[in-house]
Amino acid sequence: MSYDILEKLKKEIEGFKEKPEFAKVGVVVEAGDGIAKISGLSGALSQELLIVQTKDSEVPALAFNLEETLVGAVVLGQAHSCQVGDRVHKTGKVLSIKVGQELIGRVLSPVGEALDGKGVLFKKPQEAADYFLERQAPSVIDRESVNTPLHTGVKAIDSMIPIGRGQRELIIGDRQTGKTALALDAILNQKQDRGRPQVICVYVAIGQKNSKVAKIIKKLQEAGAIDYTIVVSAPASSPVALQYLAPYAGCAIGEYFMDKGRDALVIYDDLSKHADAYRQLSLLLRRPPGREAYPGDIFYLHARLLERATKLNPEKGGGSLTALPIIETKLGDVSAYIPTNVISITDGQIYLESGLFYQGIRPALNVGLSVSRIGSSAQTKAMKKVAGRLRLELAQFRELQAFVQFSSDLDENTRKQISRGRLLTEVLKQADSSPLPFECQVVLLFAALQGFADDVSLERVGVFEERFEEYLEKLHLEDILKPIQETGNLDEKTESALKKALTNFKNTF
Amino acid sequence: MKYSPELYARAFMETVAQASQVKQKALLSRFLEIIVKNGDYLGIKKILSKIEEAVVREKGGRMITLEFAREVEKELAERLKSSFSDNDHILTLLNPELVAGVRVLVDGESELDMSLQRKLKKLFT
Repeated sequence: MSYDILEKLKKEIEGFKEKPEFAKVGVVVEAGDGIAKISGLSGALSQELLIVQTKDSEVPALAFNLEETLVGAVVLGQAHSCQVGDRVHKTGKVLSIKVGQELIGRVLSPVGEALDGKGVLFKKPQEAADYFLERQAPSVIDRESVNTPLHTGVKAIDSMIPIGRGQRELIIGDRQTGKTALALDAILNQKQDRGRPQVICVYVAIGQKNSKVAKIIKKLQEAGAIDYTIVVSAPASSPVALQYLAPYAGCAIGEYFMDKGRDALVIYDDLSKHADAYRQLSLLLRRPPGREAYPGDIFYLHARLLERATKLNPEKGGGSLTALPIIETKLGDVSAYIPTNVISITDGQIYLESGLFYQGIRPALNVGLSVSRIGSSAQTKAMKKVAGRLRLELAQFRELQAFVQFSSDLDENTRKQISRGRLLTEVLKQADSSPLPFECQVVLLFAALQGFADDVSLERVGVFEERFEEYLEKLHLEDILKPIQETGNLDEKTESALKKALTNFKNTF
Repeated sequence: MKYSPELYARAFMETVAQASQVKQKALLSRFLEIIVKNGDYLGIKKILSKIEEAVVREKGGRMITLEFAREVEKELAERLKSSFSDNDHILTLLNPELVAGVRVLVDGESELDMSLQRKLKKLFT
């Protein structure tokens, strides 16, 4: 065997021909903190992929700053191997990632390296496509209005802050308020959301602990959600350049499926850390700092990313890319720089409050501050019909809540409104990792809003929901749940069947 | 550094070009004083090399760096140098990492690599 190798090598050496010629090169004149300053390379393009020839290997770098005499580049590989004097070559290419159907169920880095130890990402490389990390968002002509719902499985969201496929909905809140849990519920729910094409989910972890990413992957595997999910991970321990690139890589993967006419959902967890990574890069590249030391183009950074989420028109395949960016606020301050930026870019926000979280209202959704600007046009008729009054009733309840302590002195009507509000708040509570199918949400909200649960004590609301769901699944799957699921409508026939079922159930509960 | 070496070099060259020959000596000492005053003394090597580069370019020459793997015979070095113009500035360096052969860098961005190191890398990668 070794003889064969030796002979092969000998032949290779004998046949080796190389014509020396002048080549354009750059020379590393400064290296450190993942940044390389390169002299020469006068024709380098912005965002061009460069190759640094280090002592032992070739390390990719990204041209970021094109200055008069130097090029500031971000090293994408092992930055410590980059030394002063190393030669740098241009590639004439911009950064891209290999994408394809085979990525589903895999965990990868933003530069397309497998991180899950399951071997190569593509067994059939010819079926993989190259997608640029930075790509122009589809034009207005290529788009159409959001018209299909993206159910998250969370009652409060699907009823009051509906999200459509192709929408950008921000999840914002302090640390430990359930932002990631909410996004994961949205992924888990795609398995049970029948009647619409399966959504391919991309979870992008930016600057997170490896342990947290591992937990999330395990959760997805246990729930069987990994079969339609791709995880892009740039943990806190990874170079800042990878953290900066992660959301763009996730978006490129989502775009591949969108271009194939499918629906994709991308979760950016979280863009606050992404902004921090970009600030670090910019400061190291000596770009002038602006507000909160972020560079001047921080808005553009997120705008160009989120603008790529869209619903394409049928001529373009009709695919969609829904974006759920996450932003972490500090002490509930939504008026900070990055939160206001992303709020203004997105089509609405889901605001989670730590106060509500500690009161036991989970998801800790602040209904007053949360909004979905375009999702209602994608909401199903059944949900619209049922939840139309929900927001109003909760708003009235919030106004009256201040008088709760004087409840004995209140008139009958106000007392009723308060107890209805309390009931609805209880109904909207939901544990994490237990997304509810949309048809079940419809029937439960119907029961609560039509007064069927008025006499149920608040402590027993959870049991009521559970038993009623069980009851319907056993006895009314065909005449109530399936029609709602298939048609997305609650017609008169189904409604009367539901009312009858509720009355019968109440007699046994 | 308050100002980049390129800026120092450009300012120095332009001032010297405008001044009379008598004043030029005084200008040089003032230039050094300013560098010290600005606290950029540690970067003096870079500034001087930039001035050198500017002088060479003014004469229409190029900055040439010749890298050899080991000390070469004088005759061979001379022969190599003679293939460049008189106005070119030639810097000779020793770089054992090249293993054998020579590497020529022109104006910091055009390179002719005839080293064994490159050939070996190309053969085995």
